[in-house]
Amino acid sequence: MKKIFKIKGMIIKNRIEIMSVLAIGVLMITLISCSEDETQDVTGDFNTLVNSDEFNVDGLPDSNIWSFDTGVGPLNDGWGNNELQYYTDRPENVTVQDGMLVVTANEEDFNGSRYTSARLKTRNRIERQFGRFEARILLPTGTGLFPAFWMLGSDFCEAQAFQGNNVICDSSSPLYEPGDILWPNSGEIDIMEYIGDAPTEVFGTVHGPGFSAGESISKGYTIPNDRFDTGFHVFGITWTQNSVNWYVDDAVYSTITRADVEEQGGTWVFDKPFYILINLAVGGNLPGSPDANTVFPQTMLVDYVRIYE
Amino acid sequence: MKTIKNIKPIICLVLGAVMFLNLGCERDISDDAVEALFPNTAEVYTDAPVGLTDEFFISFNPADGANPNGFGTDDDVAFLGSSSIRIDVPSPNDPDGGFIGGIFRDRGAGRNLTEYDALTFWARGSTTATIGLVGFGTDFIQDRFAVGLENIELSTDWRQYTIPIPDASKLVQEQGMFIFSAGTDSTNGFGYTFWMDEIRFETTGTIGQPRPAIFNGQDVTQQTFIGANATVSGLVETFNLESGQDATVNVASAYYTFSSSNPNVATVDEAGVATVVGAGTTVITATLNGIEAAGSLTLESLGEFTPAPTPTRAQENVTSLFSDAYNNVPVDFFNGFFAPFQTTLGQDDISINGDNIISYTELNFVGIGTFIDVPTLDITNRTHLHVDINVQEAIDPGDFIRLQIINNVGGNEISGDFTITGDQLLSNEWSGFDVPLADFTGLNSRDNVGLLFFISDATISNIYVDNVYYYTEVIEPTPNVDDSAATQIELPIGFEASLDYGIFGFEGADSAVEANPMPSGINPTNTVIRTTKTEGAQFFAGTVLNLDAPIDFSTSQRFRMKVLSPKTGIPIRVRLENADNSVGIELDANTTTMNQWEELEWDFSSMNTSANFVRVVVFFEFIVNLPGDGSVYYYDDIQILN
Repeated sequence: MKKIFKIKGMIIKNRIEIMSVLAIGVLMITLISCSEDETQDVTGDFNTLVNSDEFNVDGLPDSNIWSFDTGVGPLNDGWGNNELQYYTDRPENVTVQDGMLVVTANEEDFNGSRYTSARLKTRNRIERQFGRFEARILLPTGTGLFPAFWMLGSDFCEAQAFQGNNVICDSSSPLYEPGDILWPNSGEIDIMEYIGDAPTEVFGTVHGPGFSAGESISKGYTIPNDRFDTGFHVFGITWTQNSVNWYVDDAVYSTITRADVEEQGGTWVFDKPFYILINLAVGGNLPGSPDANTVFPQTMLVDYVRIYE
Repeated sequence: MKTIKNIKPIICLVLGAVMFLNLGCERDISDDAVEALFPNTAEVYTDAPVGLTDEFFISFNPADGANPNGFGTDDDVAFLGSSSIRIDVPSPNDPDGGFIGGIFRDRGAGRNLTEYDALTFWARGSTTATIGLVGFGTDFIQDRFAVGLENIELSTDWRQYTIPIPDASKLVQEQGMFIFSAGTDSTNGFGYTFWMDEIRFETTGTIGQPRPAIFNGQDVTQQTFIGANATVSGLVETFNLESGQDATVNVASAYYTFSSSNPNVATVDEAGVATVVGAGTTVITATLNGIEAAGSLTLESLGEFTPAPTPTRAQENVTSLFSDAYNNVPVDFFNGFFAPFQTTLGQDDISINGDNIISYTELNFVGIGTFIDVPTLDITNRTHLHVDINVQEAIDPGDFIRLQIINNVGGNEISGDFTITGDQLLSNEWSGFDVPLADFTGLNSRDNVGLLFFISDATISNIYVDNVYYYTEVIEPTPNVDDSAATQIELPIGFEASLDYGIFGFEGADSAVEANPMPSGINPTNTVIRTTKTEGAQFFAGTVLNLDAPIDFSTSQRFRMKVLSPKTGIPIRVRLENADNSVGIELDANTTTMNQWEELEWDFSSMNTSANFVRVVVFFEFIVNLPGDGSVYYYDDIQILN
């Protein structure tokens, strides 16, 4: 009995703590050659840790890695999705505690919004192209909660402004960086998105020119005999020049290739550096508003974020 | 936090591995280990009952209206396989019982369900309908770990239902495999059929966000005393299911761990019953499977409690609504919570050393009802209402509590009320009231009483109430008055002297001193007064007796007469007047029997009796606008009780 437990325990440990490099077992390696089915290895060839935040220092998130998007979006439109929250960088909404990044959505009147929450990004701090990007997350629950672990192209224009009815990238804004282009041309990879009233499902998506919003390329994953708001799970992608694979824990569930994008008339823009975002939205077009059964506050706990090459 | 979160899935895995071993390597495990565990069979019904008692379905008691005949299996309908359970829900008027329900019990000593997180089953209905209850943990033996999901909606297609297990670690030997109860509340009384299939315990892994609660999540505060008990109720737990929908189940107290923040004030037992042991404040809270339950009970103990005096009247003379001294009549409610005007909270929820007490708070008005599902009260032969009231606040000038009795609730309603003024009440002490029913002005009949109201119009907000009962005052008859030697007309009078008593009737009453028509029982004497209320006489037709000496009220104000009436339950009014009728006092007493002599009392103690009353006027059947019908009445032995 003890033996069996140990072996099982090791497997699970590998899964959860994701590979101190040495732990990559023979078992894993033999599986790498499989492609595009859910039994394939999640690591790709990306086994060298190049960046990580283990969130081991209590207090504010590491400012060498993270900065914040605050408010209701540059166009005052709930970040393009009619989201209901006001993002802040207050500890009530974002802090590091007990080894976790804690992102908290609160129900409170704040600057004209009914909810507050937080959105972190690694823009201008960690921007990489290709590799394995993953995070270990315990997700919140309830109708109207919309957390995400995702990436934007480093040339994403934050200096959005209206010119008449058109949105432009406003070079007079302090947020403007030379070379910035408007979404979706800048590209977006959603490593994990989740809607709080579907506690067993996540989905992975790419947006780019010709395949954004309703035409984005997306695939969902339903976890068997488990749910995402009761325990931590690892959400990641392996991203190469010509493809992105999505995985949850040890299951790869989606592959989207340059050919898939081009077949749809889109342009593959995933061959430049991207940066990471973590946010917990409340309400908006996709999840709908919280209802009477939604419990606040809700937290999204992130154990770590790691990037491998 | 991090460590714990990391460890949890591993522990699950360990358990999983152990289970796996138990299943797969049974022979390798020592006999001791096998003995420790009951079977973990998951299935309850697939195509046949699995491991259930021979009777399979054990109905609720038919004596309670349960219909045991609508249960069966159906080989033509199944979600999976070849057979399902078929329930024919009867109409409420079905002679065999108006609803159907019962349990399935494990045929062995019980099952070990610790590895599961839910009971699931599939069901469909012949129509859309609401099933009142499904669940498990009820075995009709202890019902210790009962869990119930109420009001599930049937579809006409198969749909799966999930009943979460609040804490499976408790279910090491569970016999209650399934419970259901169904009626036709949702179908306007029309019977229907529903089928259930694939009933089994499962490890779904998809049930999350357990949120236990007590008092349905409310923070409740109660004032109380040493010796009182308070039971934690409203035990529910809400889970989030795979669908993202919440499900709230009723949970037996045995799943909870209760605690008291100050055991010197109150202790709380495993069943959630708190016992107050000292003065002060304590907060009763609970956990379920390590999770703190929402809701609490704050007990504010005021220390020792002085109960209301124990009533001493004989049960046969009492119709009791609320008293530990009597067998109480069935009552619909002690607080009707009449919306939207009533603010009053509380009801019969205080029990102190076995003494049950009503506590009303935020009183403006509140009623005790006996008119919905229980018989109304015929208190025609009762003479008084008794109630003990203990005001739990300072009493201000103008405070009052008005008692109101309503006859024929919702029909030809009539009511009468009696006001207790603030100066008759005591703060934090009991005041007892014996109110003659005749003093409930306007209550002309009381054969169908459905409500007793306590009305304060918020002048008094918090009261305890005890010993609410109607009673018949039993008059201990006095010896016969022998006034044969009297030389003038003065009380006591027995009409035995050879005097001219000067009796006369008026307004249609024909009255005279005559021979006793029924010299028996308590009145065998020779002569009495007859008064005939002739047909068509005024309702206030009466008889005058003039006295030569004023009534002596110096030692007692209790006026007595013996009466003989052909009718029971009719009022007899006695009016006492001074010489020029500038002062008069009057009271009613009701006959309690007919065609035999009885003694009645008119207690003038609450009235001003200082005048020189020299006239006694007696009115039989004094009911406004009721003309005389020729009835013949007699009375005798007029006196003030010594």
